[in-house]
Amino acid sequence: MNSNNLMLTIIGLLLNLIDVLAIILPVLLAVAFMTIIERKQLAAHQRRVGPNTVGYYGLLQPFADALKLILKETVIPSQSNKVLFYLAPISTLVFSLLGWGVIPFGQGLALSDFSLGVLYTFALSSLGVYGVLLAGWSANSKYAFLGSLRSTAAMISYELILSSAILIIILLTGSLNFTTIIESQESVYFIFPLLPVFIFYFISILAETSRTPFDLQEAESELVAGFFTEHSSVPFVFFFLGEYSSIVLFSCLSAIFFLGGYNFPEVFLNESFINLQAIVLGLKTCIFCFFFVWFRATLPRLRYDQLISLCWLNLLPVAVAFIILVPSILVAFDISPY
Amino acid sequence: MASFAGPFRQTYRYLQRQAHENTVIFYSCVIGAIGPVMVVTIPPIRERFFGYRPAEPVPTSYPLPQRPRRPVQGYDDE
Repeated sequence: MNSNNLMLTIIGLLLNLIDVLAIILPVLLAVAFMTIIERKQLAAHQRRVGPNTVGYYGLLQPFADALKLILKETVIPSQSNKVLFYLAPISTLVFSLLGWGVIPFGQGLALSDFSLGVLYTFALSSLGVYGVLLAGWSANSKYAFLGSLRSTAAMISYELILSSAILIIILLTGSLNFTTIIESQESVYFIFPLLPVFIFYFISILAETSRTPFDLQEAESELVAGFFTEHSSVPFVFFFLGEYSSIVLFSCLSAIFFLGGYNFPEVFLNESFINLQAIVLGLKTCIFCFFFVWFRATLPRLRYDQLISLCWLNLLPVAVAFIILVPSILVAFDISPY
Repeated sequence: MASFAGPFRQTYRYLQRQAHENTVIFYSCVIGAIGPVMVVTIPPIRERFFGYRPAEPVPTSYPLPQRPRRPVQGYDDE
């Protein structure tokens, strides 16, 4: 009897592991392809060809890059704090991957359909700051330290705007659960009634993921490569994966919050083996990934004071105004979800 | 017209200046102020001109019967 229980526990754990791998592996693959998509798209914006040698159409370029980085020697500064130096990239990658645990890829298709999913995701994105801070501090380098300080200030400032935008969506749907948020967009995607909110939401996720025009911690002319200046080889790969994973994650979250997630008109009856809802979510995610790269190709980098004043003096008042306006509309027209 | 606008001229000029100098703050205040104004004005307008009646509140418990409680008998332990 005891051995049976043990067997059942082991099988349960293995099934959980398979569930996690079924999410993590496609995500890591998507992250790898996000890098090649970015390079190809940037090339198209600049009328170049882009990487086209490794594999068909350059599709194997990310794997060649990864192999090169893994085979390189890991150089650690002699005066650095070794434990934190390794902990920083690991925590960045782990925190950005943990966010995928509550994303629904279809009806009931989530690792955990957690009732406080939105809160969990934003707690994790806040924890991502620690990786940046630890990396800058532990490397014992001026450039890395300055880069991490800049990044931390920007990420903490823009988190406020991001949570304000999400708060408006929570007020509209009356739930912190991703599936409920998706299901409430059956009649209309939130991007249409909440277009101004979407605009400042997207600006804040650009800053949150430290992308152009807010990539001040990586201002090459001032800071070499920012907070991961001293990280090479595998630790660098971890930072790279963490950064691109959070780009894909935030694109996916944008699709869920503003484009109805896996919902699509007429794609509700599916008798085939193909999960059309996950494909719909993937396509919507691709739209936002495209936006990320498009902004990188278009906009110049802001100055640091411009970055901070844009957040505190421009976006925050607008966010607060909408936090008052949206619930007022719900109460005035008696359409509050509570 | 000038006499009517007279007392508010300075206020109007101040607001005009703020809209020009601190555009974001000014229009944020405007957008934010629209909300409470809507809460106060829209429900009476809907009721008076559009015949809107608020829906009955959803019951959250069973209603109590409109009669005195009947004593329960026949279930006592012997």
